[in-house]
Amino acid sequence: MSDTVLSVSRLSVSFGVKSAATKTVAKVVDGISFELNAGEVLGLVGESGCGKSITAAALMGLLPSPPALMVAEHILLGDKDLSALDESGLRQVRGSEISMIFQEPLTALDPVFKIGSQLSAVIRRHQGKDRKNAFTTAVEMLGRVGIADAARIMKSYPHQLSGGMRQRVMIAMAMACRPRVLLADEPTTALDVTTQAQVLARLADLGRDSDTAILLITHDLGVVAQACDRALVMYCGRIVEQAPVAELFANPAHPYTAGLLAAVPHVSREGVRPVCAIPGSVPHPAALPAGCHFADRCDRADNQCRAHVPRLQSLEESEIAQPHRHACFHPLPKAAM
Amino acid sequence: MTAPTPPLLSIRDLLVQYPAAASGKRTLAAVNEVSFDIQPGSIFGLVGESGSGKTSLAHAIVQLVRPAAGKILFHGDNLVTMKEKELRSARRNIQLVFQDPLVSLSPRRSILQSLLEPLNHFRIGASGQRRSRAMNALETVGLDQGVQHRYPHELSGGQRQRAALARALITEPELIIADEAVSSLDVSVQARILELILHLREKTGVAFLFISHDLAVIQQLADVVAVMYLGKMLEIAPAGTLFRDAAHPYTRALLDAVPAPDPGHDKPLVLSGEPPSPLTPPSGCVFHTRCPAVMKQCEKIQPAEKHIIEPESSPSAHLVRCHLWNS
Repeated sequence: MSDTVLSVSRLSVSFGVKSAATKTVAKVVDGISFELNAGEVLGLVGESGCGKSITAAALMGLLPSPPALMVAEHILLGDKDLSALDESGLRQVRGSEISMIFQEPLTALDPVFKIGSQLSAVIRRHQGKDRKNAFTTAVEMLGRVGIADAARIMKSYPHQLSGGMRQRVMIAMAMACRPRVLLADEPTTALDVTTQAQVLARLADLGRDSDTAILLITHDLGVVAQACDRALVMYCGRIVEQAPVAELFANPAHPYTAGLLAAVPHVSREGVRPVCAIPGSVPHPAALPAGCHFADRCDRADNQCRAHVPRLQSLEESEIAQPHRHACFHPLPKAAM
Repeated sequence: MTAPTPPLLSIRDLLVQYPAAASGKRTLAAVNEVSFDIQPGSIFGLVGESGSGKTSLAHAIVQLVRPAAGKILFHGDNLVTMKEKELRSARRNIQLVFQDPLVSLSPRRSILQSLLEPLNHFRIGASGQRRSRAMNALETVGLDQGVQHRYPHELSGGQRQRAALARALITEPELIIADEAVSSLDVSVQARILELILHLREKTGVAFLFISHDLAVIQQLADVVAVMYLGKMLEIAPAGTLFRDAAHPYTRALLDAVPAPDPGHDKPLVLSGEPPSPLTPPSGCVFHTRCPAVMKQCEKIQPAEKHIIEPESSPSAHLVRCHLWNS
């Protein structure tokens, strides 16, 4: 369970921001480190602009440089350091050992090729199968993501499918080579809730069957609660809290996590549970406050928070195997919520 | 709640069709014989998945699309049969707010210009006072006066949606139709816009038709909730009743499918299949192809609307279209 498949150490991504007079640097991912363990679904949760999608793109080596500037101590996938690979090295790894799916599958599917040929191409490229075998594998994969009439779907173009179907095709394509890691960037955000429930269930089953660890990027705490084992909370480019999901929801230590949880509306049989907004707004990435980036919106902040950057530290009583870490000088006491 | 007040908006047997083929022979019924009432000052939540007809319904109410049949009674006057001139004044009383505020705010106009436009158009107030009306509207939605000279692209998503609400409010409408108005906002921002909508209703007495795919958001706001599927209204009930005792299997499935932000919560029951194409809706009950409680008659006979008896204190009747309730 605790075999690490992906180990990210001190990953930073910055962009140059040019305005009329000055040129500043926006650090959108700021020295984050985390580990993804075999067979787990790790949630990476945060609001727009917190750097979660950039993190995924950086791991895949998909950020064009310039404008992006990416620095990392290492990004270890097994024994390969992705941060040290060149483009041809990355091509070998992408799709076979690490795959990615996106919110909008139409951006990843080619509109002028049929699903069958796109799906077979991936399998032929990475598994060296011939045309016929690749086709059979492709049909099989579509079956595994819950597509009943795979033969018809193979002959369809992307625009002929519904959003839910397209996302299933994407998942089939990403999982075709049983990668060790799947980066899923808001995979169900564009789907209706009934379809979302189906796709999340399939994703979890597939991950378990192929022993693929999943980094599930989402803004939706409901999805985190239902689909993830552990979660990382990101704010302004930094990980502010990490914990097993049950622990995170029961005892959020970072005031931002607690604020997010209080802002999410619940569907409840017992009537309305009012939501609480977080005061203020997210600072611009080119004009981040010194110290803790959340300090200006936090009612626990003091001078220390405004001057110094809190490092991720473990809560004392948390287990070593699944530590509960937070980056806060004044964490909330246990079960304060 | 007390003596019956006449509804602000009354929709009766509304049918909205689009031509589905170039020949015009096949049609798609986006809204299929829908009826409901909105009381003055109330928030009517309309929920449904993509393609259920929520937006077509909203557009039909303001006559952006002309319905094929049915009535839209605003204060008892039928908007469908009105002449363009009369419609114009009715539109002053019904305003739309969209998911993407960039749709209702022109990119080439400052916020102030966007706010003044409806005032000039409808000749509201003396021209000298319009600017101060605009400032009031900004204050009502919690925006700093400094944004008046800004352009939409210079504002954050939350600020833009506030500006769009200010623009909708400035004609002092009696009904605002908010179509997925908070759907693209982050939760922390969304929570503040939800507070604002409740505050605006309190302060100005404006009613809302609040359309969303998100049941959790609907529960925060709505007095009455209606559920649409493939153009049909399957259930209407007071919010408390709907979230506690949903009668229609689709409503229950929808409630169940929302992922609860609580890891201890049961995993959602997965509803099988996808919504059928609205071009070829199923016979009988439109939901029968996915319904966990499907019976023989569901495939053939459209269920009639059934009143489930409600306590008299309730703000609205509980209506359901399902054969389970017809026996």
